[in-house]
Amino acid sequence: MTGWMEFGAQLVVGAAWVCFFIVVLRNMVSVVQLVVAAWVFWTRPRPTARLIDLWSKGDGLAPPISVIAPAFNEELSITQSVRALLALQYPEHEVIVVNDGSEDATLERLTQDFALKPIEREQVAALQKTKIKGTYRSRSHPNLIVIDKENGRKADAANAGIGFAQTPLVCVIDADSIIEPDGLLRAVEPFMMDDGSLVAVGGAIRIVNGSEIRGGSLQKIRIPRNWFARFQIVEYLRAFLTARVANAELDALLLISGAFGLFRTSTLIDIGGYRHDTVGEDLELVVRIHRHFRERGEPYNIEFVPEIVCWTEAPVTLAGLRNQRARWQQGALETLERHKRMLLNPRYGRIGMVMMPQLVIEDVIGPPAELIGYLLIPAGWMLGILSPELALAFLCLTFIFGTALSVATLALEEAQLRRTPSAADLLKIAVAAIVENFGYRQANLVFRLVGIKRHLRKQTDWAAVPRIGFN
Amino acid sequence: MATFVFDLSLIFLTIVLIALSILIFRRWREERTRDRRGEQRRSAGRIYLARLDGRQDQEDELQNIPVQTKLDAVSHLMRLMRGEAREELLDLADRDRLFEPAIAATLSARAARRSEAILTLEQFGSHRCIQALEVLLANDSSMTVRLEAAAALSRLGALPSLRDTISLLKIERGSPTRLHLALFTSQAQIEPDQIRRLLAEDIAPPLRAALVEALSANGDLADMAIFENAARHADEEVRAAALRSAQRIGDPRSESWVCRALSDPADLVRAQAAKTCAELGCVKARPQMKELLHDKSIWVRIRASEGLAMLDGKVA
Repeated sequence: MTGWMEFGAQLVVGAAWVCFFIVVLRNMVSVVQLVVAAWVFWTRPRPTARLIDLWSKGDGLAPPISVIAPAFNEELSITQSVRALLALQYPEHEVIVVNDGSEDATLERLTQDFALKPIEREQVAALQKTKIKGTYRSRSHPNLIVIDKENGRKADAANAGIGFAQTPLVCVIDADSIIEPDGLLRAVEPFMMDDGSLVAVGGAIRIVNGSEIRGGSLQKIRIPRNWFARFQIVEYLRAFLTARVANAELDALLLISGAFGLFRTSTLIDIGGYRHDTVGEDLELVVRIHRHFRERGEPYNIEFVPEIVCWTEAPVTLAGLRNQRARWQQGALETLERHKRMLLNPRYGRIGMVMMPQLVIEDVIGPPAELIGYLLIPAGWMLGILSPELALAFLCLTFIFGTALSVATLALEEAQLRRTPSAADLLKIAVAAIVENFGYRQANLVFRLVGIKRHLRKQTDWAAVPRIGFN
Repeated sequence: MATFVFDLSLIFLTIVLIALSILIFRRWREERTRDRRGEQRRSAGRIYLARLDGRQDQEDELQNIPVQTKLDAVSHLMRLMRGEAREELLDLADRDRLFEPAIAATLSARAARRSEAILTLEQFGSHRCIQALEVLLANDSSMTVRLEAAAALSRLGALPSLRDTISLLKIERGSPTRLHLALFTSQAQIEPDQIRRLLAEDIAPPLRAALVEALSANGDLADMAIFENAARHADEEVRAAALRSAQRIGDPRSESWVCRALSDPADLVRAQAAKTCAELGCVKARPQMKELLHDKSIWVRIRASEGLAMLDGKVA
């Protein structure tokens, strides 16, 4: 009996140390990303309106862009959203709305409000799996194209739109994305300095909850009253201002958010567009772009613009948050499984040797390890199996160090971008950056375990994230 | 180890909390002093206007106003002034050394600061500002900053010769980007002869293509011979650039060589030729464009289809 107890105790100690080192590793990655991001912000020449003026007002200098907006049951907001997309500041862009088999009056509303007429338009590549029912062009806005198709989820709708795009660049967005008026100009800037190798650009996305929206456009930035939304502001800052800025600087950006991504059309066509059989199609697409070019040994580049290009609504209920986070987790695991041959494979350079292992730490072993650590380490200490020092070190890393990372990111945002409306709002976000480490973060870990469970059960149904919607 | 992790976490948290507190305080102070700064700016504006009238009685008050506020006031006045008064105001600002911080910032180790300095220097464009921009164009370690300096100098009409600019931007043998093309395009409207001279020389095809396309921004019909010549170039990018130029100028005399390009071996050129033919309203190209509806390249087919629709519209 004593032997079994000793073995059990050793098992607990071993597991506790593994959890501890995984948490240390995750924090080290975050620190490296923070330092690299700070360096990028410190040294980079900021994009200036004057330089954009040089090319955006000239004739034929800006590469034409097709903005692909998938729409499913959006009859209440589609007109305003499309008007906002048509009004984006850009010399030459067309808007391709893909009605993804809406069951409401989305198509009728578009037909009525934009005077749609049927057209014959050749599809450059048929990337969608479902049937195209019709193509339309607006009489009032010739740069508005509407594709009507059978329902097939966002990836399929985006693919249909990409297939109909006749421009060198496509910007794929979510139906509820609110694009900054100069978002396209900002995002396309890396393409203006491109030597031909740039294939995709991502941009910073922020939470729009609480802000004033009118006519599908952001009128005034405000901080939401809801604490879940505030916590997500901090999360988005960490994700976009440190992780993605740093990864892009190291030529290892793995994710361009589905809410806004600018791609070279020919690249998307070459790789067959988005996959239909994953819930994390945005991550999978970028990983596949890396794989495509590295397997061919062709030079390529993926960049990230730290300026805000797009605003999105965050879920404000626990159920909504759970669905969203579980889906993200499931998407990451599906991508890892699909591209497992890249893992630790030198053929894929730093993507295979650094980023894919990081994805494993972050998305496979990280969440359960931290969660188990919360339970195991204090329990082990109380039972006298573990030293109080280990328990203290673990809690310091998760609570104090985690808080410091969030606060540092907020400081970086204020020092460089200053998009928080006022000092009082900054203070509110700072408080959220501290409070989120006590409960919210742990809840997210649980939601990610839900995603892991769904992945293991091969659940492929897509749970919608309930949102409040805009005024 | 626990003590080390605890200390490290606490030190890290303390440092970032202090940094954030300073930033929040800075923002709060800016908000509190916004009205006062506005008043100071208006006051500085009044004093500069008085000085332009020859009155020097408020010099002491001006001394107490921060340089940036004075610069903002001068910037505002300059937008309202023209001609001699504007030049006098610029002289006053120069004498007050208002551009000194921006000129000093051009020596900063941070590209971000140098880039911001360019904005100020370009906005005022005094002799000293132009000198500082020239130094940036010639010596800056960042090619982006050099390009920004070149764009600023171009807008001020003070860009060195195009040959020197190309050399300073290190694109004689490389591929010019769209931003370089934008710079050449703006220069083509001021100094087209420089581009013509360069095109007469043996230059790399990517640079030639950019210069051919930029030259058309000048809109001079006399350049059609240059474009026709470029349309026979061995490099397909140069031929396509010639067609884009013909499209921009819209001279019907180019129809014959544009139509010839419909049977070019390069997809890129045929697609561009279809587009240009349509823009020129070249009805005689219709049979050839109909043939292109069965071209092996989908882009050629799409452009031919669009072009035919456009020609039909024009005829109708």
